[in-house]
Amino acid sequence: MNDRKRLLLFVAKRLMLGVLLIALAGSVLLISDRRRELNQQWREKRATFYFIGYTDNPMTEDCLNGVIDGLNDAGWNRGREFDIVIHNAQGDMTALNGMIDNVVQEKPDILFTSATPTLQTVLKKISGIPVIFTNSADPIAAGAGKSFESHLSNVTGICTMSDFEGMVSLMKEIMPKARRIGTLFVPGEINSCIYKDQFEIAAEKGGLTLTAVPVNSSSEISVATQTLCSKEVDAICQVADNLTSASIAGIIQQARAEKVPLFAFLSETVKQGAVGAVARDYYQAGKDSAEMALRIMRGRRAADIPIRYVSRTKIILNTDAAEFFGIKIPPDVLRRADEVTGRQEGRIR
Amino acid sequence: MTLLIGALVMGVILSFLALGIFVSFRLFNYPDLTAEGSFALGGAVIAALIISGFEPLTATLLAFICGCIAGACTGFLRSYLKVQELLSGILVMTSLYSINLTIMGRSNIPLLSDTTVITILERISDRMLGVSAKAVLLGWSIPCRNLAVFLILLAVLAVFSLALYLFFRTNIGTAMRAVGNNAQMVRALGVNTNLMVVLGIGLANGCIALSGALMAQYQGFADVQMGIGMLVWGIASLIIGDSLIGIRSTGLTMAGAIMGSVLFRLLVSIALQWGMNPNHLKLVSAVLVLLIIVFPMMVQKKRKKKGAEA
Amino acid sequence: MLELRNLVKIYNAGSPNEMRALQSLSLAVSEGEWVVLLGTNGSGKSSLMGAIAGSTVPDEGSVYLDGSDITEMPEHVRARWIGRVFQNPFAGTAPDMSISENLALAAMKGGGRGLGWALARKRLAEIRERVKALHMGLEKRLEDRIGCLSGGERQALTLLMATWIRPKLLLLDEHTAALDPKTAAEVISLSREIIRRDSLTTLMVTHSMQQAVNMGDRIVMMNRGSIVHDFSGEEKKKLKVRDLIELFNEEHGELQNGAVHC
Repeated sequence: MNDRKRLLLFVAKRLMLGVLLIALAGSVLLISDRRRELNQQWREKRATFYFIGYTDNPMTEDCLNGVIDGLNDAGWNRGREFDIVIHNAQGDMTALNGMIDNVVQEKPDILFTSATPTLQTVLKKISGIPVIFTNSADPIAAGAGKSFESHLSNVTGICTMSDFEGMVSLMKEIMPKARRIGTLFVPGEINSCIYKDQFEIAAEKGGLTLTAVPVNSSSEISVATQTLCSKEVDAICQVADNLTSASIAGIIQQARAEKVPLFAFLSETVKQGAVGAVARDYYQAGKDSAEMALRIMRGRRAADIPIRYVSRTKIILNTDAAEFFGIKIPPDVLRRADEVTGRQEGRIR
Repeated sequence: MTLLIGALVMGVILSFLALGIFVSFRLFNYPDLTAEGSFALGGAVIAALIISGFEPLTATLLAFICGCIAGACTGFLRSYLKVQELLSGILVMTSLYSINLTIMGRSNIPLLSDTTVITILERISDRMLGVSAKAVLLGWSIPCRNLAVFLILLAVLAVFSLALYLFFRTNIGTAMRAVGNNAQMVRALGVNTNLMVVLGIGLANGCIALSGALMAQYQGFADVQMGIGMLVWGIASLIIGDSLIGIRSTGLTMAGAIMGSVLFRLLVSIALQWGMNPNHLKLVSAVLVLLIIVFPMMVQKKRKKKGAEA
Repeated sequence: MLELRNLVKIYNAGSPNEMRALQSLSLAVSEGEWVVLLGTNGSGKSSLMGAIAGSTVPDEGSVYLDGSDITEMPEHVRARWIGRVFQNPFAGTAPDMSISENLALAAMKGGGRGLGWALARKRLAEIRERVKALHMGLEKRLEDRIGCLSGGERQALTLLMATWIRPKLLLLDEHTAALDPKTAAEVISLSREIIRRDSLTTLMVTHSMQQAVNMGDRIVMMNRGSIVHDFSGEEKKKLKVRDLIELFNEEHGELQNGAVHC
């Protein structure tokens, strides 16, 4: 029986250790919370903004820069009129949840988000803080509201659905003989599926067919691009979702190897070797978001600010890439473009 | 305080995951990789059912059953088609990705204004204590509904683990435990080990799918990629629990897994709150797990040294 | 009771490693008979035990138990009528479970595997009684994990488990070979006691010629997959160890391991 008692004691001790550690961790959390609350009371009257992104990609970076520059343009400077905390979940859903929980604790004046998954998580968890999404393909489908005018009272932002009709007409001007265009898409990302569907509609309207090849992870990019090229598409027009934007270099490489002209919806791809892009200006989207933020800081309610499309779409062309793929860009298209790189060094409007 | 309650609720929800992984990895000695697929399956099933108007409690039960079926497939591949353990889990997990997409119809379903188990609990709290009721604990105020959700989920977890523990003390449960320990002996005693594996791995993945279903309802959406990384979380919780408890008895290891899950979430929340760069999250998690494993060992060594010197 | 007809088992057929473990082997064991199976390594003893128990499937031939053909029957179904004790003390018990849990599993054999309580009071009482009857002091340690016990204690428990519910056939597969002489003797006397008490039909494989001479009603000697000698009744009783050694010499040319085991 003595053995039994010793065993029970040992067990009880270990269980207690576990409970103790949990209580300890919990109190550490609470105490740092208390400290922060006290800090908040002592802090100067600076506005606090949070910017949370889902993955690290050029779109998110452009949005962020746009937000900060937009605030600067209005005379708000970092460290004086506002503080901004920047987080990126690197694609990890659990981390994203933790960050949002943190934001709920911190109660910033405004929360900026980038990418649709961020917006969705925020929509569930945050109700008292104004939220501005700097980019989202289809905020209505993500749950931000019924329409651009009638949306959740604390949420508004910039819709960055790509300009598919613009791309179709650009294609017809640059490659008039093209009949089939192709793109990769990610079944696991909802905005990618939305883009593909919308693109299909726009392509049909313009008399072109769209071939879409699915891809699920960055390791599959090369093979998927090769598959796409083998389907006899006249050109690739890659939609802008999180996965393909992060892996665009791989897509460009394959397209060049197969000599299939590549067009895109993101501006940096042109410098990397795409022939042209019809890009929503994510930097402008950031600035538009900053402008909305300033209106809210000056007293307007988010409910009264309708969601809008980003105010600027750019056409960017690369003449070197065009030459590589054997395409001659008509001179009047060159003149209309916002940016042209390559040996015909451009005027940036 | 919200951060604490949030971390605790996540810890409780992921305890179901840890329990499922305990059943397959520990009791059956089966390295079952189906977990990421079944977790997302739970989320997919619950989301698809709830937006079609299904009652959330039954839907959660159905999610559990779907997880059991997925696990049974893995077990079937192993027992009757003689596919190796790791491979059978991988095969089912990979298939589940497409299956989940088909179930949901899209890659992501938001559950914002739908009735979920969580909203039911919140409504109960509202009705009993008022909508803006706040509890005050040691100087911190918490909205009553958050506290209610946490306490009730904790109670559900307690009941569930107790039921699981009692199950493993029945005839069939004891036979299952023996299969992972010494399958040859158990066969010589007349137990159909193939069937036990199918049922056991099925049960394990049912728990995991249950965890996924609860998570989807709590975080407000189901995503086909929500299972990624969950296997590691579950195993880490098990390991932390082991270092704390350290005995092989079934009941204690289960308690350890639950505590490990909660502790792990708390530690991660602390790290995030202290302004750690979230990019470093995975590295810090690994270091934390390492510390928790090594600490008891070092304490024991010191004690032995003292004992030897004394 | 047990009838083996023309069992054939070939490992790695066709390859340079081909080994003919059983060559058209036939054997009949009557009810209540205690057969001792002798043979060196490679004579086919393990394959034979495996074919009877169900862990090895013969290439040709059939196995009949009490009149029914069990050749195709899976191992766990046969286990209802067959008790088995392995050579390795670690193979017969579940090391992380307690003594009472292991014995409860044995008690469940052949039925009652639903959601009933594994260690119900009645069963626990029965377990305590039977373990006490072993006179090894184990009844005080029923909740201990079997992994802590010595090899001899584990074999005794495995024996108890194999005969908990009276089996039609008891298979003892060199069950004392891994034990030290004193413990082996204890386990042997325990085996004898149980077999006599329950009049079990037994097939015992052993390396030890001393054991073969002292125990059982019949000696069957195997070599290279066939039965070469079969002694029973009076003939068997007259055999001495040196007779067996002589026979072995004839079969194998020189005796590798003629040392006497106790």
